[in-house]
Amino acid sequence: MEPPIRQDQTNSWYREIRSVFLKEILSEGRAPHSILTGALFSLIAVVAISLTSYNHALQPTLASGLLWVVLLFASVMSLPRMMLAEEDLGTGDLLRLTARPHSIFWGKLFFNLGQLIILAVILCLLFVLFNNLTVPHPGIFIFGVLGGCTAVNASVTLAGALSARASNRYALSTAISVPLILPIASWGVSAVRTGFGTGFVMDGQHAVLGLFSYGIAASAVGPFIYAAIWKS
Amino acid sequence: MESPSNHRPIPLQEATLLKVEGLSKRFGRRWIFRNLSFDLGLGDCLVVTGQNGSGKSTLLKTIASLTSASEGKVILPPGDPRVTIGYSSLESSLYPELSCREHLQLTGDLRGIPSRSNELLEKVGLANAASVHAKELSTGMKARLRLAVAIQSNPLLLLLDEPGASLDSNGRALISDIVAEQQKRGSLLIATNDPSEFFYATHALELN
Repeated sequence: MEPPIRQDQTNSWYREIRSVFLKEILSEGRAPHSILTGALFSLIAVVAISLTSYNHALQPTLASGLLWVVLLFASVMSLPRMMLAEEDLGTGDLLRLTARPHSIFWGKLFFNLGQLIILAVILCLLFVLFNNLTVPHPGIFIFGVLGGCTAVNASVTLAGALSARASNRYALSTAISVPLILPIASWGVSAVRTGFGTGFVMDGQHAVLGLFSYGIAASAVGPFIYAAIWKS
Repeated sequence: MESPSNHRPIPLQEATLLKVEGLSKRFGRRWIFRNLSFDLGLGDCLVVTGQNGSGKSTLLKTIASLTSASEGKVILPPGDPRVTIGYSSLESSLYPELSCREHLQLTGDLRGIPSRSNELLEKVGLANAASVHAKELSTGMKARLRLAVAIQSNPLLLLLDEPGASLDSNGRALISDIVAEQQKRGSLLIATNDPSEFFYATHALELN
């Protein structure tokens, strides 16, 4: 008979978050449903837009709107799965027995952010190339997309976390995502439009600041809300 | 992380390892069980029996804090429940894309304890399947892996829901060993309808 084992408290948060992050990488890397869904949707949407606008130069305002529509749909389609899949698979109990809710939230948030940034880079490159767009303010464009990824990721992860234990979790997750994402769409369009050379640079900078602030605020609140419903 | 100085035994200071007081659970208007009270101490093994739907699994889940009680309270062993409680159920699933060893590494890291994967996989008879992904395991092998995860921290309280279901004769011998070890270390609660598992009981509870 062996005695109970004492926990090692050294770097416990870092170790736990890293474990969840690595678990997601292994699971998603071996069965990449989520990222493939987002990437294929992005590719099809970009090709469809470029075919529709063939021989017509896309206006920067319209182009920024279309880019955000595709980016938001791709992320809403793929990201909530990270939280909801645990309950679908029945692995939620395993996590609840062994992990703290904050670690789960942060581990999944970082994984989702990495996945969304990869998706956004692919999507933006395809979008700019296929539609022959120029980007006179690349800094605002890049930070606008990155800030948007941060904000969308935090909001969608939060929506997934809030609805994970509901019986109609997919519908609920989508319904919660909509009001959370509306302000991001507004700032995101403003930042990308400035990146494409329309509007005031100052407006674009404010939009970028708004996106990052929103993302940080949602990321900070998310783990506490998730912890509150963790074992409900 | 593997430094032995960080893994000293937790002294057993409380004689009572589990105290259940007036515990009740209902789904909607239907009471699953009402007003259950019992204590478990070192060496105790409570076997919970009852017909399908009588609330055996729900009782274990409530004690494991996987679901909330409608009334009453559960006082668990002192310490972090991630380490002091072990839980194994047919309902809890495994990650299909992770191997047996990766499961134990994940749960060990999350609990803040050594994974002991070689030792545990050897113990539950999965040493040759350490690198096999969960989706490729048979039902009995999955049950063994769940047991390995449940006993990973040498918990003070072990909750086993239908532990013998889907296990062969070697697997049942493994359950017998685990029960004997657990009775020396702490206490356990087994939900079952298998008469061969009534043998482990020091106390019995039948839910209607």
